Amino acid sequence: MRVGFLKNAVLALVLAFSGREIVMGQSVDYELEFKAWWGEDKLQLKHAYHHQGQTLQLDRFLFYLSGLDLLRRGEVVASIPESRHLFDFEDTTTHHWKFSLPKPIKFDAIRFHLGIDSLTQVSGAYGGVLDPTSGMYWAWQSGFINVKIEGESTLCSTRQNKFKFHLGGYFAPFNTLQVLEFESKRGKLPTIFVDLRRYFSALDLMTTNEVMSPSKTSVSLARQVKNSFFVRP
Amino acid sequence: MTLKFLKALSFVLSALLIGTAALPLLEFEFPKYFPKTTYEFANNPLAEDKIELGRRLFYDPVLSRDSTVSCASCHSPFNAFAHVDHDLSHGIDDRIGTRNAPALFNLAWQRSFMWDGAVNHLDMQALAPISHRDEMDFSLVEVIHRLERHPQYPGMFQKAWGDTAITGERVLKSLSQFQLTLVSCNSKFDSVMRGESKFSTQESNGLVLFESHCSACHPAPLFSTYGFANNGLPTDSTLRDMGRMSITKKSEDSLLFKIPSLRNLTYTFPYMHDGRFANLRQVINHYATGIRPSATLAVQLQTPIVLNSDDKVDLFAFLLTLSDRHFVFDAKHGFPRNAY
Repeated sequence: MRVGFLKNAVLALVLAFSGREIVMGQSVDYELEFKAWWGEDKLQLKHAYHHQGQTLQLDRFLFYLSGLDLLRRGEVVASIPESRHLFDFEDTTTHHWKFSLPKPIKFDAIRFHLGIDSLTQVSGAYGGVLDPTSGMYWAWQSGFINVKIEGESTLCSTRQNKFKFHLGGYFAPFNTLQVLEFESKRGKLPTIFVDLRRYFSALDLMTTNEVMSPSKTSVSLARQVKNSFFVRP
Repeated sequence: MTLKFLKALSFVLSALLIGTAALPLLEFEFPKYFPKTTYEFANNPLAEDKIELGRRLFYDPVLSRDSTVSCASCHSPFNAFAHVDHDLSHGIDDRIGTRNAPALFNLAWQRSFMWDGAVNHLDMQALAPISHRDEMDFSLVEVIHRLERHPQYPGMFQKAWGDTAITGERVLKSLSQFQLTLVSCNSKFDSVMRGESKFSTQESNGLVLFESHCSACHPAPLFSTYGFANNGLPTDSTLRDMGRMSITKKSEDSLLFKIPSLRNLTYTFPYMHDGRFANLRQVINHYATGIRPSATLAVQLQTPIVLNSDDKVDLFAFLLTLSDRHFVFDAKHGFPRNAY
């Protein structure tokens, strides 16, 4: 009788959890590390960099990542459901994108979006990192801000020399979503670097310094952010 | 016996584990002759306490910077949740916006919001007025800080969502829940649809005219396609509002505005995106003689609509059958008196 009750209770627990795909004992946890740099050095906020003969200081650097896939020989072998991450340079706990797999799996590459996919963009309110209180959602026009880069530079003739890049836009022709793919040798996750000097070297801050709505410019700038990501050989 | 026990145990455990799952969920009810809803209720299942929380938030000026403006300030129940007496919306510090506050009803069937479709989901709509300088001039983060310190809201969130955490998602989804319940389906037109009454001769004549001149953009039973169209209004040089084009940046969207429903017309004056017409007579006259041709003018308006004075009266009679007095005076949607 007592054993029967326990069995039922265990079964009930499995039923209650069945939607969550928890396989006890086998799941594997991963952490994908992101490091932000300025050229050869670790990025520092509020630091005066020399850039194109003038000064440049960064105040904020955030971006969304989503849609994480693991690949083997070019084929997707695992998709991490509802994988979304908000990297905020100021908050070092966000420099690791944590995810887990129900069981160990062999893969040789990883692929993910820089930004939030268009289906999520049109599906209403979400919590967690997607909660609009994260400051990465536009109020006046629907859409996540995929990348936010703010700072000051004497190259900008704006108020207080500020520059603001709020890169977003999810529908054609201003879709800013980018895809990043990196090798993962022997199933070991690479450390991913993003060098903001590359981003600023590819743009003219004197003329392009306030981009805060979906446009042709935001699409090309999002591509430049993508091109600033790399892994070390 | 075992199966029953297992089911019961599983239910209790799920309820304990998932928290809100045990709260009673409500079926979204609407007439059989309405189409399928576009709102995805599975992502925000209706529950009595969430609707009530949303209603409380909707009527509470706590959402605005100086606690003077609520959603209902510009979306009054007695005007089918539109704003009378102002062509352009009237917000905080007596600031005036750039567009006419639209009526709110049958929102579960709409795919985009705002006159230019800037907002793509009902859940995200409230963000715009909360943070707009000319409306509430506040932010969702500040709203949440204020609600957390409020004597009643933490308890209401606990009741509705299973714990006292107040998040942006919960605030927005609660507001959606209340607004989703604003279903207008009890006009004379609806009673005719249900076979409970009949149109008068004048109304029937008006219906014929309506079907040949208006229903392409304003089809029954919602009386809008909820698409976008240029209805031939001359551009107001003080506003220079390009409508949908400001969102899509496409020239073919120049001067296109969201097609409003014609339900509850008598309650929602003034009319058009900039509130330029104070009464329905002016609206009908616009369609009969005021259409301004342009590259993006709706194809249906490219041939003049010929209406004599009898036609106008008949059409007007039919349009009056779309007024839903029951909806407008339904206490269920009104100010939550019991909460105070």
